[in-house]
Amino acid sequence: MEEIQSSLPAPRRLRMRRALQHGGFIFGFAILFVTIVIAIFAPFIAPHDPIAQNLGVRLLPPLWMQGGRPDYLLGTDHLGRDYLSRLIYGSRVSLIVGFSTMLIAGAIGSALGFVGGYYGGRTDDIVTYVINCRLSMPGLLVALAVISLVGGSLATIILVLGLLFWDRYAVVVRTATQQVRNADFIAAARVAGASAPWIIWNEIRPNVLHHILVIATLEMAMAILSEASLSFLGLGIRAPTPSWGLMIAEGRSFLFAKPYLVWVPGIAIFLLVLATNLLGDGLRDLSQPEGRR
Amino acid sequence: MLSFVRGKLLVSLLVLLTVSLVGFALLHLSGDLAATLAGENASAEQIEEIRRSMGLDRSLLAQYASWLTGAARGDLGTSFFTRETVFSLFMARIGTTAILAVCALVVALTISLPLGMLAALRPNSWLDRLVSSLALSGQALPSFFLALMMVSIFGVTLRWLPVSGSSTPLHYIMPIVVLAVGAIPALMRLTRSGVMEVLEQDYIRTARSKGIPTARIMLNHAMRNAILPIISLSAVQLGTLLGGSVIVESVFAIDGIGLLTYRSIQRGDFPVVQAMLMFVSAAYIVLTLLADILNAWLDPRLRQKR
Amino acid sequence: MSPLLDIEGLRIDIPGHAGLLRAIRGISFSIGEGESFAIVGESGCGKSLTAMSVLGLLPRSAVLSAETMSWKNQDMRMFGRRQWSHLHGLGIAAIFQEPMTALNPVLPIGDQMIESFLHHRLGNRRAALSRAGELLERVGVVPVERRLRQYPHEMSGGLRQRVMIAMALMCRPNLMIADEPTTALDVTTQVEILALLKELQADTGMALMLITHDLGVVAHVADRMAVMYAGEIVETGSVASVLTRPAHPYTSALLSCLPTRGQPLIPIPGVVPALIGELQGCIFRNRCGFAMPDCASQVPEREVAPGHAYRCLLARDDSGSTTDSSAAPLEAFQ
Repeated sequence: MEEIQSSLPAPRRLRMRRALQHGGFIFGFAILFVTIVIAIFAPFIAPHDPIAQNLGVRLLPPLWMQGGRPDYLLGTDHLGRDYLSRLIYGSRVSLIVGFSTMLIAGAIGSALGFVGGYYGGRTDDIVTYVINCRLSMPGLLVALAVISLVGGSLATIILVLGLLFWDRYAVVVRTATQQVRNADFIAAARVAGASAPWIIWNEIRPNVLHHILVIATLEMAMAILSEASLSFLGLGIRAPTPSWGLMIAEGRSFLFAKPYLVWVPGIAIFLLVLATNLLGDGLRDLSQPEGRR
Repeated sequence: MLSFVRGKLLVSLLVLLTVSLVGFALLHLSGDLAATLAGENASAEQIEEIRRSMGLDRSLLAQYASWLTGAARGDLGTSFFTRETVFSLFMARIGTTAILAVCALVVALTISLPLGMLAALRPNSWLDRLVSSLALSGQALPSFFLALMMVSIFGVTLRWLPVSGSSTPLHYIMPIVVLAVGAIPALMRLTRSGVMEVLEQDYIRTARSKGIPTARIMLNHAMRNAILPIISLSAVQLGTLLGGSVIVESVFAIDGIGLLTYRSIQRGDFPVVQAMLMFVSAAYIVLTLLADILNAWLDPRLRQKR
Repeated sequence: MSPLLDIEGLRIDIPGHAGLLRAIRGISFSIGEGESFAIVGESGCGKSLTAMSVLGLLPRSAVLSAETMSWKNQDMRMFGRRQWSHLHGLGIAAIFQEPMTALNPVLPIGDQMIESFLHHRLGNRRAALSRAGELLERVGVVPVERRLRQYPHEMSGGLRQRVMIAMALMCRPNLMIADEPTTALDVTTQVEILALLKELQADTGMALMLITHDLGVVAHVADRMAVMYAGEIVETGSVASVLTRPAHPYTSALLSCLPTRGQPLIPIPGVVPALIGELQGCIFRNRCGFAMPDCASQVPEREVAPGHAYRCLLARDDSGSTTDSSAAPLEAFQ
């Protein structure tokens, strides 16, 4: 009597279809993908050298404004550097900081979360205490102070942000691990004599991976924002390296006469962070069973 | 209840001590304070002189111990630059920053709570989509960029609001809006998801089956439960707002503790920076503790479990 | 006499990712004043959804249609917000399966009990509290003074269900809907709660609509019953008649799933079909031992006795059913 059993689509195809129907996910993915391509191929795409100064063409407006020139699509800054080229190269800083911070912080936070969540008891008390201490410290302030003392550079920023912003990973992974820990398949592995690290890596990690992925995208967005803030405050990426936050800081003096010097990099940051957040939200929606938001 | 508070208080104190030690160590090990203070052209002797006079030549632990005994007596040291006590520098500015932070939180809550509730009542409606988009956009806007955009629109083009300083109430509007926008997304999302979760609970169905109207169900049943995590988040957000005042105060040139900290970081005025780290940590700890107590008071289950 | 609640041709569709779920497909039943009517079925058969539709508390996405849906001869589909609010509590009250979660954890019992009484303006706070006190006393939740101030988590499941019952009675409803009222409770408490429900029904003269999967509960409490399977009522009639002379193969199968002394349990083979797309013929045919090709087309409604009807191609005479083992005497349940 198979005619009453209507066929349901296979789960995998259903997930693909849902991903393609999820506007935010597609939008976020597309923007992030394009930005990554631009960052990788920056030398081939950028029309000019991003740090070459040409005082003859200082403060040119973008093409669509009075006095714009086709060879400087987005105009030039106060030192005559091509704004489009700086914007293109600036994406590299944002993405490198975003990804590297995500990896460092993700490794630290997940490790703490796994250990606290799996072992429980006294170990978990210690992990919780460490997380509490971290949460009590004002992250951006500590980053500002430390970077100002060590000196701003790409490596410093990544390291400092990575060593600071692991708290959300730890909290989420710990809770997720606690939920999986008592499952029967974990007990089975334990009875079979598997070691704790083996169980965490082979049994628990796959089950909490989607949580980590979601946090990772959201935290990547946070890291991009933090780098921009640090560079804006003059305590991050040093001139003349193009960073979007630094470009806004430099354009700020011309806010009255040339507001686009602030708008252009500001919108770039906004779009990239928005895209990353959308991707993270999309991942979370798609990892939930009934497409609930 | 009392032992609940006492236990929390003890842990909080321990956390504060740890944080102060970590902060102290970070600031001392990240670079040579004496060299930073002496400036780039100083000779080796000058740097040594500064090191000795500031007591920076002692062991880290000894320095921390003397800082801690001072701090316990309310003596947070003296600024390297202005020679004023850190305490008086702080007291002169804390009011400004507190007003900014509290107003921003109030603004954020008055916007996020109703919008989050309405969005939760009608999932996937146009209002819900609008609320979600607002939250996403707010989350992606760097506060300094939003601040400059507002300056450019309301300060420069429209000339409605003053762009820097803190002499009139009008000066506070843009900074408060910028800080509020930073706090709104998280609060709005939590309200929406919290209320949605509560609305699916059986006791909401019970209330509906008793004929209680939606507005009353929302306030009396749903919010009474959904407010608990919102209280906790508000405490965290208030702490974040105090720390986040660094960016906003420096953009709008508002003379609060944020700007003081920013300047002190730039010139290596270590006692002020250390005090600020301690202050924001302490504020965070006290606020979350208050939130815990408030939650325990509102939730009979927590009250008795302690 | 016209019935209190009259439902004819009720359909509920729920749109989902995989397609339109035809959760309820054209069921009819009615409940008279003071009558107790039970709907029996496996979980997922749509019995709770039926209860929710009568309460007007369907999920927002559900689409309801019916030929008739009336409360005291008024069309419930025309009810506005005020009429529903009036019906809830005053006309129909409900108790649910999970006493552990059906009460608001942050409000004292007393506040929750008097809420609807005050909302429906049946009296002031003092009158409300005194009625709440009487009812708690009646359902055996004592000492009343202390209980009124307690929070739900301070009580056991059985006590909470008693509180739920007392709360449902606050506004003297004409009909109480009890959705699996004893499923979450342990066996001794189940018996007490059922006895209490029966007593209260006799005292107050209200009607009872009982939703359950437990034929034992039905035999204990109900006058008439309907057997639901996969969104359809397959058999309906007086409890005595249906349980002793089950006519539909599904009812028979359900009865043989019950533990009876000296006989092996017979599980029903197969699974409930997905209720998506066009569904024709008998919905039970893929699990039915008597299925024949014609079952895929029309299924007639037949009568065993006046008021005892079932949907099946197989004709039953008045004397018995096809599977002897299922004809359990009514006393076996009590």
